[in-house]
Amino acid sequence: MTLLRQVHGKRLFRAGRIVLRGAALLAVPAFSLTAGPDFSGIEDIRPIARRYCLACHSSAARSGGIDLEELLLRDPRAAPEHWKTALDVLRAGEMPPPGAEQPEQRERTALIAGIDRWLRANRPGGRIPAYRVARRLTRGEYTHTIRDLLALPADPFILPEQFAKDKAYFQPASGIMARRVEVDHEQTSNNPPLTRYPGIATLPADSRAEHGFANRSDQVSLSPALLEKYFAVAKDLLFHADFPSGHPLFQVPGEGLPDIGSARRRIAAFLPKAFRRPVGKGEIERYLDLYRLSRREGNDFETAAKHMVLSVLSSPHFLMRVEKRLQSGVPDAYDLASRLSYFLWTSMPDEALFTAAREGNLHETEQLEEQARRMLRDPKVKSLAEHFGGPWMRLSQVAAVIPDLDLFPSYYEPAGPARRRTVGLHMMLEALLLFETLLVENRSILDFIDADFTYLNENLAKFYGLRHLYPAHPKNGGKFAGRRNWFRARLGDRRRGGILTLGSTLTLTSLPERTSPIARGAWIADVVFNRPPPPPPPGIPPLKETDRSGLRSLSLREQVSRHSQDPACISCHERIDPLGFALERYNAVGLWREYDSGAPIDASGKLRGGAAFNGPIGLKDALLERPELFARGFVEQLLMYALGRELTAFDNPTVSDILGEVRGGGYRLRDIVVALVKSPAFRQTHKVSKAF
Amino acid sequence: MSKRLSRRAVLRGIGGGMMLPWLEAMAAGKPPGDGPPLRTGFFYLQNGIVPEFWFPQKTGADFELPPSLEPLAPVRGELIVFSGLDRVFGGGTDVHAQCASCWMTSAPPTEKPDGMFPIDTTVDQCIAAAQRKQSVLPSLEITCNTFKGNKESKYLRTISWFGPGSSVKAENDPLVVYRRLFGMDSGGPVERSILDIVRDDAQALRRQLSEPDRRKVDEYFESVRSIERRMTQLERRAREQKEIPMGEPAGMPAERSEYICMMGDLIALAFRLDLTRVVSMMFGPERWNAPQFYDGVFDKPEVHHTLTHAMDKDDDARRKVALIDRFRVAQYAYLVQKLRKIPEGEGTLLDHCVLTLGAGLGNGNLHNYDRLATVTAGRGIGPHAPDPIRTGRHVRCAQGTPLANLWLSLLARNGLNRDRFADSTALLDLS
Repeated sequence: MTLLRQVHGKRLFRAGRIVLRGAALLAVPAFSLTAGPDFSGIEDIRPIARRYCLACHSSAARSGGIDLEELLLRDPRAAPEHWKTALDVLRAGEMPPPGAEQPEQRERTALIAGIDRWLRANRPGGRIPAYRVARRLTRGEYTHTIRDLLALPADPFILPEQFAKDKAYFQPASGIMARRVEVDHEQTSNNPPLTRYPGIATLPADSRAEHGFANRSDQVSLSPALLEKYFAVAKDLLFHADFPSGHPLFQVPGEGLPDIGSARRRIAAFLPKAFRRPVGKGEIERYLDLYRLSRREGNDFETAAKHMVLSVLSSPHFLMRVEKRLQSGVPDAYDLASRLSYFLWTSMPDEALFTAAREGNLHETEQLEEQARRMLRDPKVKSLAEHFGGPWMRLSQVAAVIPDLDLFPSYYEPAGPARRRTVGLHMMLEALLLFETLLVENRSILDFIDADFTYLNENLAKFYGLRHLYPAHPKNGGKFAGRRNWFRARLGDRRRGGILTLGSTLTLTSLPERTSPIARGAWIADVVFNRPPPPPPPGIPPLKETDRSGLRSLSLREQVSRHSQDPACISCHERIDPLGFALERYNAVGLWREYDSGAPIDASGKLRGGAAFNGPIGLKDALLERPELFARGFVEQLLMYALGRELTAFDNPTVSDILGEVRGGGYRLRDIVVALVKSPAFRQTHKVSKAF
Repeated sequence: MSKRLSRRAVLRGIGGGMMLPWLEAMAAGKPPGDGPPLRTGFFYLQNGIVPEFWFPQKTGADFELPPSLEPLAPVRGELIVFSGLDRVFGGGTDVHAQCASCWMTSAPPTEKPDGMFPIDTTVDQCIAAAQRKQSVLPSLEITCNTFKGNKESKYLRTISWFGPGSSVKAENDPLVVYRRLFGMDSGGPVERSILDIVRDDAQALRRQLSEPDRRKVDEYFESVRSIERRMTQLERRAREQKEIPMGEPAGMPAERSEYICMMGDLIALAFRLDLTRVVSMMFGPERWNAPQFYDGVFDKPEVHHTLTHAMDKDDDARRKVALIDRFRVAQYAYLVQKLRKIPEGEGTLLDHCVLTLGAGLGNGNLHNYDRLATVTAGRGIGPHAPDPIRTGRHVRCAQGTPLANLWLSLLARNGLNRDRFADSTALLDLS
């Protein structure tokens, strides 16, 4: 912990320097060397904090490594991330700990409000922390952008993270997901993705961040080998035998038309789309030079035109997302259009968005909202489910789990290559369909906690023991396939419904032979609350989980509990273990059970700082009782994805403001997306530096 | 295009033809003393090892080979087995994430250039940067990760870094590695012009930016430069090289042992033809709780990471982890033996290599960074290091000796004389 503090101190010092320079430049009076730190908001809460917090969090005691005395009395900037921690534990009611004197609700609210006020007044550089971009396109962004830019009939690759093979069922404009949807999944595998162009080079999957998504700019990097792949993909695609012939970009101009004129017209129209901004004459000529060179080398029109386009697709202006820096603190309208399209579609802006950018009214709140709502009705918004929803629920991890064949034979489908086809693949689609339903129908995100419906195909219905919820085969000439026909089932039994009780969740958090309550608890802490437990420190004997050699007489719960009592472990495990125990009623592949190894299951627990509960239904009720905790976690995750960066304590007010917008409507998913798009964090630039 | 076709045709036509080794092809007409280059390899063992089956009791030349190191018996005389090399954990990150990503880092644990991680340019990339004008590939990065999905972050999958936040993407497909070594065409005028355009684009773009955006465009810019250099090198090689003594891998070998050996074959070939002088390889990612089939060891898939958590209280688990250690050592031993069979200069190719095998965790159960398994093979003779490494011994280092001391010594053997590397305190005496 000492080390941790040193590190924070160091980082802060650096940040502080930047702030000061910024302050001098912009004459932002937030803080200067002479004035000393600002205590607005903090002054008001000192008496309450002193009474309830300082006994443990004084500079001398520093319980949990948190020194509130320093923050309250000397310098609130000393460790801003501790303010975020303070807000989290206050909101969840985890602090003060049980047994200590508890503040009244009014006092708790005052503490939260005071911290919030200080954070709003002390943003680094006086600016709302905003978008962070400058990075290459991710694999998903590249795939969809190429599709839209070249107007291909479909994505050149079917990425594992997309799961669904069919897309026709997804019609967001209708505002309703059909009772029956027809969709089959793709085999998911790491490498390579399936392609519609056999033999083409492929792009590797992007790693997700330790905590966050694959689009985080500090996580996405380039190396020579990787850049070569991006180049190779474009080349292989353009020159592939299956590339649409007669593509308008490359069609030989009609008789009597000068080649160079056609090439110039085409590149002049193509380049702004590829670079997602207006281009100058000089830029057009540079790429046209390549056409000329290729012609001189003896290539025909089509080949030379493809070389020209290849150079565009290899350019950093296409492959990278870099924004203009404007003094105004507002992004360039074209950059704003890209922010929108990459957030909602994982792709480039369409014509309507370009037009709005060109006409210059995209900055107006009404126009921005109108565009966002229009885009949410476009089938391309499926990308939000695939690239945010899937990774949010950690869906791709299902593919990594290989349950023991002897213990869980029903997980594997008897037909087909051994162990290839699993129920896990259906589980991933079930989860994706849940997300898509909420998105299409603008339902409350509380349905993620407890939904009264799910989509089932025949395989999954059988596996869950819910065969009665799956309609009998319609007689239509023997064409019906139970695996690709999904029906919306009214559950009427709260043991299913929502992400906690999805087969995917319960399976991906399990080991091959048994469940892992700790992994399940950690999943909930991360996915539901966006409060991932800190990594366990080194050198401490880890929790002994296996039931081998003499420990067999202990139930799993007893083993875990026993070892979680280590003082170094208890503060986190107290928070995560009970969440996982509530799901012990499901086995390692997500099936309901009454007994574990012959012993009855104790699925009782207590939310730290909250209600006691029993089993999954009890857990759901406990979560629904305080919907704001989940809603905040969800908005934080979506904000991380939308902004492409980690959040800091200073983002907390932004999240509160978004929640304020959507609370009245019951936290509806599309409304959250729109509120986020309208928030200053999404609409401003990060830091003013050199102008273009 | 025509150049490419002829090269490809050559590739297909060759099965096992012999090729001129480095010295005959390259050294003719070169001044004495400018002998074969030094090759440096780094081989990373994920999830630590079982110490009691790894470290010898006796020190010096008289050391015995414990069970996990037994596959190295035929090359015992080519090794130094180290015990007592340590790293220091810099708090705030996952232990598994830091032990892999920071194994070779140049940042001391007290500094955190990459978020909470003490990551800066790794030792392999420091060497590669100094040699990039000489080989086709400045460095080659391989990972034997065949798990499906995207379970772990890059910190558990990456040991090689250009700099903070800038991970080097490692290859897991032998075919891709092969094509990276041999398959690229040296580029016609059109390809060259495309690179010219996009390099200039990047150059102009970076001037308009400030940190940290500029760093991202720099990654692009440096990558283009690297591709250009590689094309130039390939052009030169294409004139000198007549045959490639290994056909394209037909695909992924079914068994894990064959798969890793194939990577070893590719590394040996790359070293022998001087296509690269720096290699790093991970035997697999850290943690990643998923079963893996170790052919010839167990009759069903095992979850390595879960086993390491049980190994201190469960004899069966400990035995299994030790067998996985031995399995990995056997793959390393295969490569060492292979390099020793290739004549080069006045000795063997192995004489001009230093191949470090090591783990980032001391004990996979305790997750400590002490007493890291570390073995080097090869005498490390190179233009800057005429004195051979004194091999055939077990060296017990004083408690708290930083692993970075070894990295500092390897840099010196590559002609990079630094005062310090990460938290190094002194050179490790190798000769």
